[in-house]
Amino acid sequence: MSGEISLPPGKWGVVFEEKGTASDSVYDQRVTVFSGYGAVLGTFKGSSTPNPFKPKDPLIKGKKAYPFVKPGVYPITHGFHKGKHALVVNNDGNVPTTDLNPNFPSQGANARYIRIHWGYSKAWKGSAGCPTIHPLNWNSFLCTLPSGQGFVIIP
Amino acid sequence: MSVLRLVPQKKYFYCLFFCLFYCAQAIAGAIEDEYQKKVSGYNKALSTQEYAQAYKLAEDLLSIDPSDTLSLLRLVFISKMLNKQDARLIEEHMYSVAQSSIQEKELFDLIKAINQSRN
Repeated sequence: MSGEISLPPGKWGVVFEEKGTASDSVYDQRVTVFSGYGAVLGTFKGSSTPNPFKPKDPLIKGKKAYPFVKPGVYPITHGFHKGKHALVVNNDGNVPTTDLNPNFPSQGANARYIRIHWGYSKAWKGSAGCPTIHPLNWNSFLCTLPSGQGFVIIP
Repeated sequence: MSVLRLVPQKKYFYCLFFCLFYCAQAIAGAIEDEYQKKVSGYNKALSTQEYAQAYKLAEDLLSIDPSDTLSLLRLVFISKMLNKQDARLIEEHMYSVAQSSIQEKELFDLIKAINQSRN
């Protein structure tokens, strides 16, 4: 489990561990899926942070480029992202971010429509704030997920 | 630890540092190049009326950067040319494109107007 944050009892969950826990330069966090009984259903490579910079202007980078989801526990449900199966965080509502959302300053330190989705490629996440799973792990990740509502832990 | 033993360790450290630095630079350069090639490809496909190809490239650009407001304009414009029934997909992209400047907000309003004109 990630630090002192833990999943609500009896609920399945997706836990992103700290950076450097997976052997990949892009998807560098180990992602573990737990059942409601605490059993490990699978481990994958992923990232809870967005692209490192804007590809059209690499000088816009880090937290000036995209919002970073604040560490915490958030509800997730099965849903869609661009018409394909993905996990919807907090029913597409506000998810707190570490700083003012640079792409939607009117939302303050929040981001909406956060989904856990597949990465664009092995070398690029294709995320504007969403947690991503390594594209080669995506299908097996989906297969391990229990049904109903779960929770995600962001470190 | 003797100086003789430290020297090779330092060497390895610098080698590792430069390897990581150049790998990071290579990845950064690769995605910028890919992005620019897709933008050029889109413009070329548009000018030669290869609209299905242009649509695919606009989708790719949004997959690389879902906050790219201009690429959503690229997508909705081609979608209208192709008379595609994808208004809901365009709406979903509208949730993620940036609205942080006057220019982006104006682009967003234009995207919204083009999308609504198809309903």
